[in-house]
Amino acid sequence: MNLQLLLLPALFASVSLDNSSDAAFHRGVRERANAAEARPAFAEAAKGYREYWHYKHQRGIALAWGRASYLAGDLPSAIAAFRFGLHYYPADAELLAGLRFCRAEATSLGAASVPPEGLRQRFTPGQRLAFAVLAMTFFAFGLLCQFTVRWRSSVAWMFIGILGLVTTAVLEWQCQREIAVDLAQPPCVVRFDTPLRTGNGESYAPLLPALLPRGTEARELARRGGWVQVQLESGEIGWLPEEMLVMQI
Amino acid sequence: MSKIGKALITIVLMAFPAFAQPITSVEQLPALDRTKEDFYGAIVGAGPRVQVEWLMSSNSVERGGELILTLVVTNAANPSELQRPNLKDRPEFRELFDVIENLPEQPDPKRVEFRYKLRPRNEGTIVLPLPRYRYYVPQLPEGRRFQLANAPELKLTVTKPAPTSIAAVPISAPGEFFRLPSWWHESSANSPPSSEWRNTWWIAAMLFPLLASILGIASYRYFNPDAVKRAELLRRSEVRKTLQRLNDANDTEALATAIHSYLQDRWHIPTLGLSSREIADAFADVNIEGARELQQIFERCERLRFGGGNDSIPREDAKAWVLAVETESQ
Repeated sequence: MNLQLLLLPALFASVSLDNSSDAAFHRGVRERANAAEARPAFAEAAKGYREYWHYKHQRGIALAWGRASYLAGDLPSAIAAFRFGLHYYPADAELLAGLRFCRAEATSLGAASVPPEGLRQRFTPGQRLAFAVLAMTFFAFGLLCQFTVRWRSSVAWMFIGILGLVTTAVLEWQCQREIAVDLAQPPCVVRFDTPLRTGNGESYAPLLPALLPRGTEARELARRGGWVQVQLESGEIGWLPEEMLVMQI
Repeated sequence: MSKIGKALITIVLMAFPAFAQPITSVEQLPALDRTKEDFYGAIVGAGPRVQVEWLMSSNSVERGGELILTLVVTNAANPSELQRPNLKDRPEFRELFDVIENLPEQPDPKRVEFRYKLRPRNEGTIVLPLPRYRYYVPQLPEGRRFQLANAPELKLTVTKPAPTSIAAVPISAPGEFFRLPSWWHESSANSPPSSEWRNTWWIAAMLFPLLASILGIASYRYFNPDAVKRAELLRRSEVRKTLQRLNDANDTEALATAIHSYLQDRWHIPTLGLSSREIADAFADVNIEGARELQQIFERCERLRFGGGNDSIPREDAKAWVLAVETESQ
Protein backbone atom coordinates (compact mmCIF):
# COMPACT_ATOMS: atom_id res chain seq x y z
CA MET A 1 0.00 0.00 0.00
CA ASN A 2 2.77 2.38 0.98
CA LEU A 3 4.68 1.54 -2.16
CA GLN A 4 1.65 2.33 -4.33
CA LEU A 5 1.28 5.69 -2.62
CA LEU A 6 4.92 6.44 -3.27
CA LEU A 7 4.57 5.58 -6.95
CA LEU A 8 1.45 7.70 -7.51
CA PRO A 9 3.25 11.05 -8.15
CA ALA A 10 5.57 9.39 -10.65
CA LEU A 11 2.58 7.86 -12.42
CA PHE A 12 0.75 11.20 -12.65
CA ALA A 13 3.90 12.94 -13.83
CA SER A 14 4.40 10.42 -16.62
CA VAL A 15 0.78 10.60 -17.76
CA SER A 16 0.80 14.41 -17.92
CA LEU A 17 4.17 14.33 -19.68
CA ASP A 18 3.08 12.09 -22.52
CA ASN A 19 -0.31 13.83 -22.81
CA SER A 20 1.34 17.24 -23.23
CA SER A 21 3.84 15.75 -25.67
CA ASP A 22 1.01 14.21 -27.67
CA ALA A 23 -0.76 17.57 -27.72
CA ALA A 24 2.41 19.28 -28.99
CA PHE A 25 2.84 16.58 -31.62
CA HIS A 26 -0.73 16.99 -32.87
CA ARG A 27 -0.28 20.76 -32.90
CA GLY A 28 2.80 20.28 -35.07
CA VAL A 29 0.85 18.01 -37.41
CA ARG A 30 -1.87 20.65 -37.75
CA GLU A 31 0.79 23.27 -38.61
CA ARG A 32 2.79 20.99 -40.89
CA ALA A 33 2.14 23.21 -43.92
CA ASN A 34 4.36 25.84 -42.29
CA ALA A 35 7.64 24.38 -41.07
CA ALA A 36 8.55 27.51 -39.10
CA GLU A 37 5.40 27.10 -36.99
CA ALA A 38 5.40 23.32 -36.80
CA ARG A 39 9.02 22.61 -35.90
CA PRO A 40 8.94 24.20 -32.39
CA ALA A 41 5.84 22.13 -31.57
CA PHE A 42 7.55 18.94 -32.74
CA ALA A 43 10.68 19.92 -30.79
CA GLU A 44 8.58 20.30 -27.63
CA ALA A 45 6.97 16.91 -28.24
CA ALA A 46 10.36 15.29 -28.87
CA LYS A 47 11.71 16.72 -25.62
CA GLY A 48 8.80 15.23 -23.71
CA TYR A 49 9.10 11.84 -25.37
CA ARG A 50 12.83 11.78 -24.66
CA GLU A 51 12.22 12.38 -20.97
CA TYR A 52 9.49 9.75 -20.95
CA TRP A 53 11.79 7.26 -22.70
CA HIS A 54 14.26 7.55 -19.84
CA TYR A 55 11.38 6.79 -17.50
CA LYS A 56 10.00 3.84 -19.46
CA HIS A 57 11.46 1.97 -22.45
CA GLN A 58 8.30 1.50 -24.50
CA ARG A 59 8.30 0.85 -28.22
CA GLY A 60 5.75 3.56 -28.95
CA ILE A 61 7.75 6.18 -27.07
CA ALA A 62 10.89 5.45 -29.06
CA LEU A 63 8.87 5.64 -32.26
CA ALA A 64 7.14 8.88 -31.27
CA TRP A 65 10.42 10.42 -30.08
CA GLY A 66 12.18 9.50 -33.32
CA ARG A 67 9.39 10.83 -35.52
CA ALA A 68 8.97 14.04 -33.53
CA SER A 69 12.73 14.65 -33.56
CA TYR A 70 12.92 14.19 -37.32
CA LEU A 71 9.97 16.51 -37.88
CA ALA A 72 11.59 19.06 -35.55
CA GLY A 73 14.63 19.02 -37.83
CA ASP A 74 16.80 17.19 -35.30
CA LEU A 75 18.07 14.31 -37.43
CA PRO A 76 20.74 13.05 -34.96
CA SER A 77 18.18 12.70 -32.16
CA ALA A 78 15.83 10.89 -34.53
CA ILE A 79 18.55 8.37 -35.43
CA ALA A 80 19.41 7.93 -31.76
CA ALA A 81 15.75 7.41 -30.79
CA PHE A 82 15.20 4.73 -33.42
CA ARG A 83 18.45 3.00 -32.48
CA PHE A 84 17.72 3.04 -28.76
CA GLY A 85 14.26 1.65 -29.50
CA LEU A 86 15.70 -1.10 -31.66
CA HIS A 87 17.93 -2.22 -28.82
CA TYR A 88 14.83 -3.29 -26.90
CA TYR A 89 12.62 -4.18 -29.91
CA PRO A 90 15.28 -5.37 -32.37
CA ALA A 91 13.13 -6.33 -35.31
CA ASP A 92 10.31 -3.81 -35.00
CA ALA A 93 9.37 -2.95 -38.57
CA GLU A 94 8.33 0.66 -37.87
CA LEU A 95 11.45 1.52 -35.87
CA LEU A 96 13.59 -0.12 -38.53
CA ALA A 97 11.86 1.78 -41.34
CA GLY A 98 12.33 5.05 -39.45
CA LEU A 99 16.02 4.35 -38.85
CA ARG A 100 16.62 3.41 -42.47
CA PHE A 101 14.96 6.60 -43.68
CA CYS A 102 16.91 8.82 -41.28
CA ARG A 103 20.19 7.07 -42.09
CA ALA A 104 19.62 7.64 -45.79
CA GLU A 105 18.95 11.30 -45.03
CA ALA A 106 22.12 11.58 -42.90
CA THR A 107 24.21 9.91 -45.60
CA SER A 108 22.91 12.32 -48.19
CA LEU A 109 23.95 15.17 -45.86
CA GLY A 110 27.50 13.76 -45.70
CA ALA A 111 27.41 11.57 -42.57
CA ALA A 112 30.23 9.08 -42.32
CA SER A 113 29.78 5.35 -42.92
CA VAL A 114 26.60 3.87 -41.53
CA PRO A 115 26.88 0.75 -39.34
CA PRO A 116 25.43 -2.40 -40.93
CA GLU A 117 22.22 -3.83 -39.58
CA GLY A 118 22.76 -6.68 -37.16
CA LEU A 119 21.29 -10.17 -37.28
CA ARG A 120 18.80 -9.11 -34.63
CA GLN A 121 17.33 -6.68 -37.12
CA ARG A 122 17.27 -9.20 -39.97
CA PHE A 123 15.65 -12.07 -38.08
CA THR A 124 12.83 -11.46 -35.64
CA PRO A 125 12.80 -13.52 -32.42
CA GLY A 126 9.68 -15.22 -33.79
CA GLN A 127 11.47 -16.20 -37.00
CA ARG A 128 14.44 -17.54 -35.06
CA LEU A 129 12.14 -19.55 -32.81
CA ALA A 130 10.22 -20.89 -35.81
CA PHE A 131 13.47 -21.95 -37.46
CA ALA A 132 14.62 -23.69 -34.30
CA VAL A 133 11.31 -25.51 -33.90
CA LEU A 134 11.41 -26.59 -37.56
CA ALA A 135 14.92 -27.96 -37.11
CA MET A 136 13.87 -29.75 -33.94
CA THR A 137 10.83 -31.18 -35.78
CA PHE A 138 13.11 -32.58 -38.49
CA PHE A 139 15.30 -34.13 -35.84
CA ALA A 140 12.31 -35.54 -33.93
CA PHE A 141 10.80 -36.96 -37.12
CA GLY A 142 14.07 -38.66 -37.98
CA LEU A 143 14.21 -40.03 -34.45
CA LEU A 144 10.66 -41.32 -34.72
CA CYS A 145 11.39 -43.07 -38.03
CA GLN A 146 14.62 -44.54 -36.74
CA PHE A 147 13.01 -46.14 -33.70
CA THR A 148 9.79 -47.29 -35.37
CA VAL A 149 9.83 -48.15 -39.09
CA ARG A 150 13.64 -47.89 -39.41
CA TRP A 151 13.69 -45.93 -42.63
CA ARG A 152 17.10 -45.46 -44.03
CA SER A 153 16.36 -41.79 -44.70
CA SER A 154 15.63 -41.24 -41.02
CA VAL A 155 19.34 -40.60 -40.45
CA ALA A 156 19.24 -37.91 -43.12
CA TRP A 157 16.25 -36.26 -41.40
CA MET A 158 18.08 -36.29 -38.12
CA PHE A 159 21.19 -34.86 -39.74
CA ILE A 160 19.22 -32.00 -41.33
CA GLY A 161 17.61 -31.36 -37.95
CA ILE A 162 20.94 -31.24 -36.14
CA LEU A 163 22.36 -28.94 -38.83
CA GLY A 164 19.39 -26.62 -38.36
CA LEU A 165 19.80 -26.66 -34.59
CA VAL A 166 23.50 -25.82 -34.86
CA THR A 167 22.69 -22.96 -37.26
CA THR A 168 20.08 -21.66 -34.82
CA ALA A 169 22.55 -21.85 -31.96
CA VAL A 170 25.15 -19.85 -33.92
CA LEU A 171 22.51 -17.29 -34.90
CA GLU A 172 21.36 -16.93 -31.32
CA TRP A 173 24.95 -16.63 -30.06
CA GLN A 174 25.62 -13.84 -32.55
CA CYS A 175 22.44 -12.03 -31.49
CA GLN A 176 23.44 -12.26 -27.83
CA ARG A 177 26.86 -10.92 -28.77
CA GLU A 178 25.26 -7.92 -30.47
CA ILE A 179 23.26 -7.23 -27.30
CA ALA A 180 26.45 -7.47 -25.23
CA VAL A 181 28.26 -5.02 -27.54
CA ASP A 182 25.31 -2.61 -27.36
CA LEU A 183 25.47 -2.71 -23.57
CA ALA A 184 29.26 -2.44 -23.28
CA GLN A 185 29.66 0.21 -26.01
CA PRO A 186 26.35 2.05 -26.27
CA PRO A 187 25.61 3.75 -29.58
CA CYS A 188 25.68 7.54 -29.82
CA VAL A 189 25.06 10.05 -32.61
CA VAL A 190 26.98 13.23 -33.46
CA ARG A 191 24.66 16.20 -32.89
CA PHE A 192 26.61 18.94 -34.73
CA ASP A 193 29.51 19.04 -37.20
CA THR A 194 32.51 18.81 -34.93
CA PRO A 195 36.18 17.76 -35.06
CA LEU A 196 37.10 14.35 -33.70
CA ARG A 197 40.09 15.01 -31.43
CA THR A 198 42.96 12.82 -30.33
CA GLY A 199 42.39 13.64 -26.67
CA ASN A 200 39.78 14.93 -24.25
CA GLY A 201 40.34 18.66 -24.70
CA GLU A 202 40.20 21.50 -27.20
CA SER A 203 43.99 21.66 -27.21
CA TYR A 204 44.30 18.20 -28.78
CA ALA A 205 44.73 18.06 -32.55
CA PRO A 206 41.87 16.88 -34.76
CA LEU A 207 42.16 13.23 -35.73
CA LEU A 208 40.53 13.68 -39.13
CA PRO A 209 41.15 16.45 -41.66
CA ALA A 210 37.43 17.25 -41.94
CA LEU A 211 34.77 17.83 -39.30
CA LEU A 212 32.72 14.83 -38.26
CA PRO A 213 29.33 15.48 -39.89
CA ARG A 214 26.11 15.57 -37.85
CA GLY A 215 24.20 12.33 -37.91
CA THR A 216 27.36 10.21 -37.82
CA GLU A 217 26.89 7.14 -35.62
CA ALA A 218 29.56 5.95 -33.22
CA ARG A 219 30.01 3.78 -30.15
CA GLU A 220 30.81 5.18 -26.74
CA LEU A 221 33.96 3.71 -25.17
CA ALA A 222 34.63 5.96 -22.18
CA ARG A 223 33.79 9.31 -20.57
CA ARG A 224 36.21 11.73 -18.94
CA GLY A 225 35.79 15.35 -17.90
CA GLY A 226 32.84 16.17 -20.11
CA TRP A 227 34.38 14.38 -23.07
CA VAL A 228 33.45 11.04 -24.59
CA GLN A 229 35.80 8.61 -26.27
CA VAL A 230 34.06 7.19 -29.31
CA GLN A 231 34.80 4.65 -32.00
CA LEU A 232 33.55 5.24 -35.51
CA GLU A 233 32.29 2.49 -37.78
CA SER A 234 35.50 2.86 -39.82
CA GLY A 235 37.55 2.04 -36.69
CA GLU A 236 38.96 5.46 -35.75
CA ILE A 237 38.94 6.17 -32.02
CA GLY A 238 38.81 9.76 -30.85
CA TRP A 239 37.22 12.18 -28.39
CA LEU A 240 34.15 14.40 -28.69
CA PRO A 241 32.57 16.83 -26.21
CA GLU A 242 29.53 15.35 -24.45
CA GLU A 243 27.24 18.16 -25.59
CA MET A 244 28.02 17.27 -29.20
CA LEU A 245 26.49 13.80 -28.85
CA VAL A 246 23.06 12.30 -28.41
CA MET A 247 23.63 9.48 -25.95
CA GLN A 248 21.69 6.92 -23.98
CA ILE A 249 21.58 8.10 -20.37
CA MET B 1 86.25 59.85 -30.24
CA SER B 2 86.13 61.28 -26.82
CA LYS B 3 83.08 61.10 -24.54
CA ILE B 4 82.55 64.82 -24.96
CA GLY B 5 82.46 64.47 -28.76
CA LYS B 6 79.84 61.70 -28.60
CA ALA B 7 77.66 63.75 -26.28
CA LEU B 8 77.84 66.76 -28.60
CA ILE B 9 76.74 64.68 -31.60
CA THR B 10 73.80 63.27 -29.64
CA ILE B 11 72.69 66.78 -28.60
CA VAL B 12 72.90 67.99 -32.21
CA LEU B 13 70.89 65.02 -33.48
CA MET B 14 68.24 65.57 -30.82
CA ALA B 15 67.96 69.25 -31.65
CA PHE B 16 68.02 68.74 -35.42
CA PRO B 17 66.62 65.25 -36.10
CA ALA B 18 66.65 65.89 -39.86
CA PHE B 19 70.38 65.34 -39.75
CA ALA B 20 69.90 61.77 -38.44
CA GLN B 21 69.36 58.72 -40.68
CA PRO B 22 65.70 58.92 -41.89
CA ILE B 23 63.30 56.47 -40.13
CA THR B 24 61.17 54.57 -42.66
CA SER B 25 60.46 51.31 -40.83
CA VAL B 26 58.92 50.25 -37.55
CA GLU B 27 62.00 48.13 -36.99
CA GLN B 28 64.02 51.33 -36.50
CA LEU B 29 61.81 52.52 -33.63
CA PRO B 30 62.64 51.88 -30.00
CA ALA B 31 60.82 48.81 -28.61
CA LEU B 32 58.62 50.92 -26.31
CA ASP B 33 57.41 53.07 -29.19
CA ARG B 34 56.43 50.08 -31.26
CA THR B 35 53.87 49.00 -28.68
CA LYS B 36 52.35 52.46 -28.22
CA GLU B 37 48.55 52.39 -27.83
CA ASP B 38 46.55 53.13 -31.02
CA PHE B 39 49.74 53.02 -33.12
CA TYR B 40 49.38 50.71 -36.11
CA GLY B 41 52.79 51.22 -37.71
CA ALA B 42 52.24 54.31 -39.92
CA ILE B 43 55.41 56.42 -40.18
CA VAL B 44 55.61 59.76 -41.91
CA GLY B 45 58.38 59.90 -44.49
CA ALA B 46 59.98 62.81 -46.33
CA GLY B 47 56.72 63.61 -48.10
CA PRO B 48 53.39 64.89 -46.77
CA ARG B 49 51.75 63.86 -43.50
CA VAL B 50 49.85 60.58 -43.11
CA GLN B 51 46.14 60.90 -43.95
CA VAL B 52 43.60 58.62 -42.25
CA GLU B 53 40.04 58.31 -43.42
CA TRP B 54 37.13 56.04 -42.47
CA LEU B 55 34.54 55.36 -45.19
CA MET B 56 31.18 53.62 -45.07
CA SER B 57 29.54 51.89 -47.99
CA SER B 58 26.25 53.52 -47.01
CA ASN B 59 24.94 55.94 -44.37
CA SER B 60 21.82 53.90 -43.89
CA VAL B 61 21.29 50.19 -43.53
CA GLU B 62 18.47 47.87 -42.46
CA ARG B 63 18.78 45.94 -39.25
CA GLY B 64 20.21 42.58 -40.19
CA GLY B 65 21.73 44.09 -43.34
CA GLU B 66 25.44 44.35 -44.05
CA LEU B 67 27.77 47.29 -44.28
CA ILE B 68 31.34 47.70 -45.49
CA LEU B 69 33.55 49.98 -43.39
CA THR B 70 36.89 50.97 -44.91
CA LEU B 71 39.93 52.48 -43.25
CA VAL B 72 42.11 54.34 -45.77
CA VAL B 73 45.67 55.28 -44.79
CA THR B 74 47.67 57.33 -47.31
CA ASN B 75 51.18 58.79 -47.43
CA ALA B 76 52.69 56.32 -44.99
CA ALA B 77 56.41 55.75 -45.60
CA ASN B 78 56.00 52.04 -44.81
CA PRO B 79 52.67 50.85 -46.35
CA SER B 80 53.66 47.21 -46.18
CA GLU B 81 54.09 47.39 -42.40
CA LEU B 82 50.70 48.87 -41.55
CA GLN B 83 48.61 46.77 -39.21
CA ARG B 84 44.86 46.31 -39.29
CA PRO B 85 43.03 47.70 -36.25
CA ASN B 86 41.08 44.75 -34.88
CA LEU B 87 37.48 45.86 -34.41
CA LYS B 88 36.53 42.49 -32.93
CA ASP B 89 38.68 43.30 -29.89
CA ARG B 90 36.79 46.51 -29.11
CA PRO B 91 33.82 45.93 -26.78
CA GLU B 92 32.20 49.28 -27.69
CA PHE B 93 32.21 48.18 -31.32
CA ARG B 94 31.01 44.65 -30.62
CA GLU B 95 28.08 46.09 -28.70
CA LEU B 96 26.82 47.87 -31.78
CA PHE B 97 27.99 45.63 -34.59
CA ASP B 98 28.48 42.06 -35.46
CA VAL B 99 31.86 42.03 -37.21
CA ILE B 100 31.30 39.34 -39.79
CA GLU B 101 34.70 39.27 -41.42
CA ASN B 102 37.82 41.22 -42.24
CA LEU B 103 37.94 41.62 -45.99
CA PRO B 104 41.30 41.30 -47.77
CA GLU B 105 43.49 44.36 -48.12
CA GLN B 106 43.88 46.23 -51.38
CA PRO B 107 47.55 46.14 -52.46
CA ASP B 108 48.62 49.70 -53.28
CA PRO B 109 52.04 51.23 -52.46
CA LYS B 110 50.64 54.67 -51.60
CA ARG B 111 47.22 53.94 -50.22
CA VAL B 112 46.40 51.13 -47.81
CA GLU B 113 42.78 50.06 -47.31
CA PHE B 114 41.50 47.85 -44.53
CA ARG B 115 37.93 46.73 -45.08
CA TYR B 116 35.46 45.26 -42.59
CA LYS B 117 32.10 43.66 -43.17
CA LEU B 118 29.72 44.64 -40.37
CA ARG B 119 26.15 43.93 -39.38
CA PRO B 120 24.43 46.43 -37.04
CA ARG B 121 22.75 44.85 -34.07
CA ASN B 122 20.13 47.47 -33.18
CA GLU B 123 17.95 50.02 -34.89
CA GLY B 124 18.48 53.81 -34.60
CA THR B 125 21.09 56.43 -35.44
CA ILE B 126 24.52 55.72 -34.08
CA VAL B 127 27.92 57.37 -34.15
CA LEU B 128 30.53 54.83 -35.02
CA PRO B 129 33.00 54.36 -32.13
CA LEU B 130 35.97 54.42 -34.45
CA PRO B 131 39.32 53.56 -32.95
CA ARG B 132 41.88 56.35 -32.64
CA TYR B 133 44.73 56.20 -35.11
CA ARG B 134 48.23 57.43 -34.23
CA TYR B 135 51.07 57.78 -36.65
CA TYR B 136 54.74 58.41 -36.06
CA VAL B 137 56.54 61.59 -37.19
CA PRO B 138 60.29 61.06 -36.74
CA GLN B 139 61.08 64.67 -37.71
CA LEU B 140 59.40 66.06 -34.57
CA PRO B 141 61.21 66.30 -31.26
CA GLU B 142 60.93 63.52 -28.70
CA GLY B 143 57.57 63.44 -26.90
CA ARG B 144 55.62 64.89 -29.82
CA ARG B 145 56.37 62.28 -32.42
CA PHE B 146 53.09 60.34 -32.04
CA GLN B 147 50.35 62.39 -33.68
CA LEU B 148 46.65 61.59 -33.63
CA ALA B 149 44.99 61.44 -37.05
CA ASN B 150 41.94 63.60 -37.56
CA ALA B 151 39.15 61.41 -38.74
CA PRO B 152 35.66 62.90 -39.04
CA GLU B 153 33.00 61.06 -37.07
CA LEU B 154 30.65 58.78 -38.96
CA LYS B 155 26.92 58.54 -38.34
CA LEU B 156 24.89 55.55 -39.39
CA THR B 157 21.15 55.12 -39.49
CA VAL B 158 19.92 51.58 -38.92
CA THR B 159 16.37 51.20 -40.13
CA LYS B 160 13.71 48.62 -39.41
CA PRO B 161 13.91 45.74 -41.84
CA ALA B 162 11.25 45.85 -44.52
CA PRO B 163 8.64 43.17 -43.97
CA THR B 164 9.32 40.30 -46.27
CA SER B 165 6.66 37.88 -47.33
CA ILE B 166 8.32 34.52 -46.85
CA ALA B 167 6.27 31.71 -48.28
CA ALA B 168 5.41 29.05 -45.73
CA VAL B 169 7.48 25.94 -46.37
CA PRO B 170 5.78 22.66 -45.52
CA ILE B 171 7.61 19.90 -43.65
CA SER B 172 8.62 17.12 -45.97
CA ALA B 173 8.61 13.63 -44.43
CA PRO B 174 7.05 10.22 -45.05
CA GLY B 175 3.34 10.11 -44.22
CA GLU B 176 3.70 7.72 -41.29
CA PHE B 177 6.02 10.18 -39.52
CA PHE B 178 3.03 12.43 -38.90
CA ARG B 179 1.16 9.66 -37.07
CA LEU B 180 1.56 8.58 -33.50
CA PRO B 181 1.13 4.86 -32.93
CA SER B 182 -2.49 4.42 -31.84
CA TRP B 183 -1.64 1.54 -29.50
CA TRP B 184 1.20 3.17 -27.70
CA HIS B 185 -0.64 4.07 -24.51
CA GLU B 186 -1.46 0.43 -23.93
CA SER B 187 1.44 -0.52 -21.75
CA SER B 188 0.90 -4.25 -22.26
CA ALA B 189 1.59 -3.88 -25.98
CA ASN B 190 4.71 -1.90 -25.31
CA SER B 191 6.73 -3.49 -22.59
CA PRO B 192 9.84 -5.30 -23.75
CA PRO B 193 9.34 -9.07 -23.39
CA SER B 194 11.06 -10.34 -20.27
CA SER B 195 13.92 -12.75 -20.80
CA GLU B 196 12.28 -15.32 -18.46
CA TRP B 197 9.16 -15.52 -20.60
CA ARG B 198 11.25 -15.66 -23.74
CA ASN B 199 13.36 -18.52 -22.42
CA THR B 200 10.25 -20.42 -21.30
CA TRP B 201 8.77 -20.09 -24.80
CA TRP B 202 11.97 -21.30 -26.38
CA ILE B 203 12.25 -24.33 -24.13
CA ALA B 204 8.57 -25.24 -24.57
CA ALA B 205 8.69 -24.86 -28.34
CA MET B 206 11.88 -26.88 -28.64
CA LEU B 207 10.79 -29.67 -26.34
CA PHE B 208 7.39 -30.17 -27.96
CA PRO B 209 8.58 -32.00 -31.14
CA LEU B 210 11.03 -34.06 -29.12
CA LEU B 211 8.41 -35.13 -26.61
CA ALA B 212 5.92 -35.83 -29.41
CA SER B 213 8.50 -38.00 -31.12
CA ILE B 214 9.27 -39.96 -27.95
CA LEU B 215 5.55 -40.41 -27.30
CA GLY B 216 5.10 -41.62 -30.90
CA ILE B 217 7.89 -44.18 -30.53
CA ALA B 218 6.50 -45.47 -27.25
CA SER B 219 2.94 -45.84 -28.55
CA TYR B 220 4.11 -47.48 -31.80
CA ARG B 221 6.06 -50.06 -29.89
CA TYR B 222 3.19 -50.62 -27.47
CA PHE B 223 0.73 -51.37 -30.28
CA ASN B 224 3.27 -53.28 -32.44
CA PRO B 225 5.34 -55.52 -30.20
CA ASP B 226 7.24 -57.03 -33.16
CA ALA B 227 7.58 -53.70 -34.83
CA VAL B 228 11.31 -53.48 -34.31
CA LYS B 229 11.96 -56.82 -35.89
CA ARG B 230 9.63 -56.10 -38.80
CA ALA B 231 11.19 -52.68 -39.27
CA GLU B 232 14.61 -54.28 -39.47
CA LEU B 233 13.37 -56.62 -42.23
CA LEU B 234 11.83 -53.80 -44.20
CA ARG B 235 14.92 -51.61 -44.19
CA ARG B 236 15.94 -52.80 -47.69
CA SER B 237 14.08 -51.30 -50.58
CA GLU B 238 14.37 -54.59 -52.56
CA VAL B 239 12.44 -56.39 -49.82
CA ARG B 240 9.75 -53.72 -49.63
CA LYS B 241 9.45 -53.72 -53.42
CA THR B 242 9.21 -57.54 -53.61
CA LEU B 243 6.54 -57.74 -50.93
CA GLN B 244 4.56 -55.07 -52.76
CA ARG B 245 4.86 -56.96 -56.05
CA LEU B 246 3.82 -60.23 -54.40
CA ASN B 247 0.79 -58.49 -52.95
CA ASP B 248 -0.15 -57.18 -56.40
CA ALA B 249 0.49 -60.49 -58.26
CA ASN B 250 -2.71 -61.87 -59.79
CA ASP B 251 -1.22 -64.91 -61.58
CA THR B 252 1.67 -67.29 -61.20
CA GLU B 253 3.74 -65.57 -63.88
CA ALA B 254 3.70 -62.24 -62.03
CA LEU B 255 4.49 -64.05 -58.80
CA ALA B 256 7.46 -65.85 -60.36
CA THR B 257 8.71 -62.62 -61.93
CA ALA B 258 8.61 -60.91 -58.52
CA ILE B 259 10.70 -63.70 -56.97
CA HIS B 260 13.14 -63.63 -59.90
CA SER B 261 13.63 -59.87 -59.47
CA TYR B 262 14.16 -60.34 -55.74
CA LEU B 263 16.85 -62.98 -56.31
CA GLN B 264 18.59 -60.82 -58.91
CA ASP B 265 18.45 -57.52 -57.01
CA ARG B 266 18.94 -58.73 -53.47
CA TRP B 267 21.23 -61.76 -53.91
CA HIS B 268 22.66 -61.12 -57.39
CA ILE B 269 21.62 -64.58 -58.68
CA PRO B 270 21.12 -64.63 -62.46
CA THR B 271 17.80 -66.43 -63.05
CA LEU B 272 17.34 -65.95 -66.78
CA GLY B 273 16.95 -69.27 -68.67
CA LEU B 274 17.38 -71.37 -65.52
CA SER B 275 14.98 -74.03 -64.32
CA SER B 276 13.48 -73.88 -60.85
CA ARG B 277 15.87 -76.54 -59.64
CA GLU B 278 18.89 -74.70 -60.99
CA ILE B 279 17.72 -71.47 -59.33
CA ALA B 280 17.25 -73.28 -56.02
CA ASP B 281 20.77 -74.70 -56.34
CA ALA B 282 22.18 -71.26 -57.06
CA PHE B 283 20.37 -69.89 -54.00
CA ALA B 284 21.74 -72.71 -51.87
CA ASP B 285 25.23 -71.36 -52.63
CA VAL B 286 24.32 -68.15 -50.71
CA ASN B 287 24.38 -70.28 -47.54
CA ILE B 288 20.96 -69.25 -46.37
CA GLU B 289 18.24 -71.72 -45.50
CA GLY B 290 15.23 -71.77 -47.82
CA ALA B 291 16.42 -73.25 -51.11
CA ARG B 292 14.03 -76.20 -50.77
CA GLU B 293 11.06 -73.93 -49.98
CA LEU B 294 11.95 -71.81 -52.98
CA GLN B 295 11.96 -74.82 -55.25
CA GLN B 296 8.57 -75.88 -53.88
CA ILE B 297 7.10 -72.45 -54.59
CA PHE B 298 8.38 -72.54 -58.16
CA GLU B 299 7.03 -76.06 -58.64
CA ARG B 300 3.60 -75.05 -57.37
CA CYS B 301 3.64 -72.10 -59.75
CA GLU B 302 4.55 -74.37 -62.68
CA ARG B 303 1.84 -76.84 -61.73
CA LEU B 304 -0.75 -74.14 -61.64
CA ARG B 305 0.51 -72.66 -64.87
CA PHE B 306 0.63 -75.85 -66.95
CA GLY B 307 -1.63 -78.32 -65.12
CA GLY B 308 -4.37 -76.10 -63.82
CA GLY B 309 -6.26 -77.26 -60.72
CA ASN B 310 -7.99 -75.71 -57.78
CA ASP B 311 -4.87 -74.64 -55.90
CA SER B 312 -4.56 -70.88 -55.26
CA ILE B 313 -1.39 -68.99 -56.18
CA PRO B 314 1.21 -69.36 -53.36
CA ARG B 315 1.32 -65.61 -52.57
CA GLU B 316 1.38 -65.94 -48.79
CA ASP B 317 3.99 -68.69 -48.95
CA ALA B 318 6.20 -66.55 -51.15
CA LYS B 319 5.90 -63.56 -48.74
CA ALA B 320 6.65 -65.78 -45.78
CA TRP B 321 9.65 -67.21 -47.64
CA VAL B 322 11.04 -63.70 -48.35
CA LEU B 323 10.64 -62.65 -44.71
CA ALA B 324 12.18 -65.92 -43.54
CA VAL B 325 15.18 -65.43 -45.81
CA GLU B 326 15.62 -61.82 -44.59
CA THR B 327 15.35 -62.94 -40.96
CA GLU B 328 17.96 -65.59 -41.64
CA SER B 329 20.27 -63.06 -43.30
CA GLN B 330 20.19 -60.64 -40.29
